[in-house]
Amino acid sequence: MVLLIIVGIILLPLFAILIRAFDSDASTWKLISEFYLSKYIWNSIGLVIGVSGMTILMAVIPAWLIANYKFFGRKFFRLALLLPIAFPTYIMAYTYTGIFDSTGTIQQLANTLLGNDFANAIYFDFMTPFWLVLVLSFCLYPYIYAACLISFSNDSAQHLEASKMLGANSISRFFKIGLPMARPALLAGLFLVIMEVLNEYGAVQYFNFKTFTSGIFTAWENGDLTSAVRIAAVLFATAIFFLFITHILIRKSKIEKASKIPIVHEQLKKHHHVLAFLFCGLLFLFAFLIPFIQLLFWAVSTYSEVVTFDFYVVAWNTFTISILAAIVITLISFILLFAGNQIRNIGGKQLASLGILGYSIPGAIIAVGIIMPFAFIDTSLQSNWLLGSIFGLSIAYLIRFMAVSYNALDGAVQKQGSRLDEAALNMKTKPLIAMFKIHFPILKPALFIAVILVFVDIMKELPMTLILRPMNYDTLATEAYRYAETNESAMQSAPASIILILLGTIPVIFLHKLIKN
Amino acid sequence: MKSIYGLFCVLFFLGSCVETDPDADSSNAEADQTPIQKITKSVTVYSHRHYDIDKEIFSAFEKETGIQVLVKEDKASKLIELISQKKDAADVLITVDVARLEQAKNKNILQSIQSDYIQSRVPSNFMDSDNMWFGLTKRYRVLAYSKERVDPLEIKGYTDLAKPKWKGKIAVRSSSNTYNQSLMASVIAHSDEQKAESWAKSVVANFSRSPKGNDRDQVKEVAAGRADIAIINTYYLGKLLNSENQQEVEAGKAVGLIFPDQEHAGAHVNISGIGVCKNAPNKDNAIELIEYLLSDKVQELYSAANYEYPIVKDIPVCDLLKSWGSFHEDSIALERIGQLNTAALEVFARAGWE
Repeated sequence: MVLLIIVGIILLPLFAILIRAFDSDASTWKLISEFYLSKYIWNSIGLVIGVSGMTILMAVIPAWLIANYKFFGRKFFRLALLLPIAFPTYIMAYTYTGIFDSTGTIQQLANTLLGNDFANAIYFDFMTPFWLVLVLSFCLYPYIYAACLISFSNDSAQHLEASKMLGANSISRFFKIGLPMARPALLAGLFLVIMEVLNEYGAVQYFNFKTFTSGIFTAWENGDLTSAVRIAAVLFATAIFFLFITHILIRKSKIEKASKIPIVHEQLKKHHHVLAFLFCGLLFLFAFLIPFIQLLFWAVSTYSEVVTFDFYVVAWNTFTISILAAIVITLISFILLFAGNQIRNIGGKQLASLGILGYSIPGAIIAVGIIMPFAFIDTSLQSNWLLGSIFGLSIAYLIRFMAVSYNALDGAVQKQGSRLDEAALNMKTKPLIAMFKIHFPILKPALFIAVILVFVDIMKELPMTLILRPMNYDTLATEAYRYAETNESAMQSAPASIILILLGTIPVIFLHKLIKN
Repeated sequence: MKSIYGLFCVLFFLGSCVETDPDADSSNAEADQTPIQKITKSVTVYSHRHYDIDKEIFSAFEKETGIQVLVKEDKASKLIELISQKKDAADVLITVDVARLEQAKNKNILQSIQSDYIQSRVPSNFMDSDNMWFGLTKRYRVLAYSKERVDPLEIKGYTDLAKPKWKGKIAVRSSSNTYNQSLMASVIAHSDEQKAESWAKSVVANFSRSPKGNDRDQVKEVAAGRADIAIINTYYLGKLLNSENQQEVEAGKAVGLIFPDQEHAGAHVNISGIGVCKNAPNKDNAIELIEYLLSDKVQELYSAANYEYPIVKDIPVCDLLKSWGSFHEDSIALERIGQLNTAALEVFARAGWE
């Protein structure tokens, strides 16, 4: 029953959207299908492939090095390489463009230090698909990195130690044991990355790289919401396709979990040592330190005109609402997961996993699906409970980000196996009591990780927050967006961005502690 | 691990509060809008204008009239959807482009307003013929040329952009941008779709790179020597010239402005405008707000703080705008530009303007 209600709430807007797609007033649909649709499809798929490849490289290599070897800065990098997760993609894109464009930091430095000719010689066009892939990858690889790091250091430790004793060299250990055993974790992380890429809007619009999301927004802005919803339906189908593939691959790679033993970190040879340090160092430098310092400089120069008392209220609002919503969402997905497992035999599990579909739809389109039923309920109850209330906004977050917490918990539950449930059943423990007395405490770390991931996502969320927020209500993300939008520059949005990123890194540090344990 | 558990318990406790919190919040919001409304007056503004100066103007309005201004900022298209689903959600809608005003009118969410004051302030070509929307500020889409490489006498109008001489020299943003769409609509309005299309094809052939970035980025392309002419809205040059980044100021100084078509129709002008929503719960307050936004004081502020041109005639503009001189503007009814938006999209698609 609970299951049906939760899944129902989540699917309601999806149905509302689907109905919308069949409206006949799609004034620009002919134009879109004739000139743009294939471009949207191929560009989106290309972007997904590019970012997937890049993020796997950026994530797996350092995770492997950090889990298995001793090298200078290892402990620092283990945490530091998680930090870029706090960077919203559009802020990363604006910041990097601000560094590389013709009035940017690089050109300024080159001009003053080495002269105009040199500056011209080193200039390149930053706004190309290659750099777009890189910028997105910088923000998104931590999803895979975190998952792989946990897997490399926990799940495969015993096997790795055994193979080490049997004399396998490090490369064959990586390909024959580490990577296959980390595959479920890697794919789960990759699934999140793919969904984020498909839903990315700010950076692709700025680079004028025509993907599904940019198409959706363009159609909508041109007054043709029906076409926007139709493109979203195609996007939805693409997302389901990727969901399906990752699920099959994950299922294929189920592994027996070995007991936890600590890995003995191997000392690297000298030149390998340098390489490991350089790889992690450069990744941290480009994915976090450089854009962060750039933002810091901008923040200092615009601080006085932008930061007012309101600003601190905004920061506080963002933090509290995000953390509270994240906790509630995680608890709901916990309940959903267990309700699904209880009635596994009658397809409860499949029903529950429908709940994660919301993640595959851009926030703005979810907003469309929400506005319709909410407006109906509010109007018939003569109230303002849903549209433009924190409560209504939280439901939107639930629909969109359920997948993030559900996936994190599901992974942990699957590792646990069904033995505990069976034991509880034997002892005639009621399912509800079993849920809270047995699973809840065991899943604490996973619950915590889920809360953190959802929290960071909510903090960065923009399209739903903008339209569904209460009147006179701003968050750090909306403020950063406002300044970036009105001035067409990242400079004045820097103070809001910096605080947004800093607030996002706090829970990441907790997350790191959990991974370590 | 203990401490994490403890923390989690605290968070869990807070979490249980959230269930009650939002209700408290929303019932407050509800209280604001229903019973108390009779005592404290308010006006709900849905705005696509995200400028700081708008916030200041609204709070000045609150002080002067005692009418509380409730604001939600987002893209016009999203705000329009929200209003068409919940008819009484907003009192006024503000957009940054005429096409979106026309869109709102077509979705049947605006109402006709009779106010002698408003009609006397806004020139008739800058308002809807059914009095459903009114311009607040004017925005010219003009040509920024490289002072170093271009003689401003060489290029007089938008049609000149199609000349082969400018091959690889023109920088402009994407056709998904509404200002470009309205410019195209005006080109169509002054000729026809076929001519507009062949014009657009020639302009595309002259692009220095495939369209990307925003208006400021196009000026930077010109300043850096990778293009000679950029198509931009004037106020973005104002923002560059007043940037904290010295390089951007230099980039702004490297270009001059050409107000096109002085011997023909005049420079293409767009508006940021406002309309009263059909089921506005506070219609009188909404009209009072519009009248306030059209007052001399506010009109002057739009120019001083945001480098936009006042919609009301004979309002003094800031020094920068004065330095750009006076010019002849297109007198076409903007309503027509809004109506031609879909035609403009088709021309862009067929011409391959990304």
